[in-house]
Amino acid sequence: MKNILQWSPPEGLQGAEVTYTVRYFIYGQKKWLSKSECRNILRTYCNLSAETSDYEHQYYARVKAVWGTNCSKGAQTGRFYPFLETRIGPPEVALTTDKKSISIVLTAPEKWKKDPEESSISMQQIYSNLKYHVSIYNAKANKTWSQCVTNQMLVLSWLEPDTLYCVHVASFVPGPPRLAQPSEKQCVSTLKDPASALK
Amino acid sequence: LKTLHLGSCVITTNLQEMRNGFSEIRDRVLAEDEIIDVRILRKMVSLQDTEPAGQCCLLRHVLRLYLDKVFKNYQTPDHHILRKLSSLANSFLTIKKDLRLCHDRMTCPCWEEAMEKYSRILSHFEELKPREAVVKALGELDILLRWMEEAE
Repeated sequence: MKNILQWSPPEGLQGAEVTYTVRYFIYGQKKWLSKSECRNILRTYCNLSAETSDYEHQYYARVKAVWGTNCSKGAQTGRFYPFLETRIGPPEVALTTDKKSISIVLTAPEKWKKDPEESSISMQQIYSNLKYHVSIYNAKANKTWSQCVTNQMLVLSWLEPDTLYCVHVASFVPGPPRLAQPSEKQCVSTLKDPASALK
Repeated sequence: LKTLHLGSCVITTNLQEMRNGFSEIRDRVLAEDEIIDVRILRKMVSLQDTEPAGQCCLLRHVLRLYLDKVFKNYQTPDHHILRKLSSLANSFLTIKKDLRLCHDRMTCPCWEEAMEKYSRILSHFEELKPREAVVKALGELDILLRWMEEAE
């Protein structure tokens, strides 16, 4: 739920000294609201995460450009619904191995928070139907397979001993497509099988 | 299929299918609604803010509003939108029939709170010109679907 408003400079003014002022609107309410940190700024983005943190509301944003004595009309976004449109980050992934199995423990991503001291809200609390798309790569066989899971503990069994496996996981919510951001790839080797060493 | 718990009325519905269907036309429908300072389905009249026992009644009335006054009166040359809305309307019809069964079994009582909330929704709807109200209500299907999801 980290919501960043981004825009491009007016046509023909790339490189000119243009300043921007952002305002936002909560759908159904009455006033455009401003954000002091995004008034008369040179950059072309504004972090509206705090202002749009109530994901049950829907929002609009508007940007005005000023250059010299000229002032543009406001460019306005469509209606933005964080609950539906936010991109869900990857879970935390912990792997432990055995001879022929790998245990995967997933921890749901957390909602963006303005103040690190704030208590965390798991995305699992917001999206009760949160699922995970787990991709597993067998480096020896050069094969990849994947599974969709709901629970946060998964055991991959019947693996080959002494083999490097790489895993990455993306969170997703069933429904309209959203951009997914998979976790970093993590690789572990299954343990050697002493029995096979004796043959 | 998802199970909705509305007090002692329990029904199943294809929420995911409705959500996917609406998401295909959402941007185009929202683009038609230019009145951003009026919201028909407001938080304080939401299903979640209603006593469980009255949720069935409130939802039943809101679905009737959509079936009788919104889907029926929306006009567009865009056949894709019309197809998607038609399938949404059919889903709403199915849900409304199930809620009717609950009503027949006395598990869908209409008490003061639910009726008072529905009348406020209706007044928000009727404050607008007919075309504006229809377009706004369609744009708020997101909110209605979210209300139903929360009743899972």
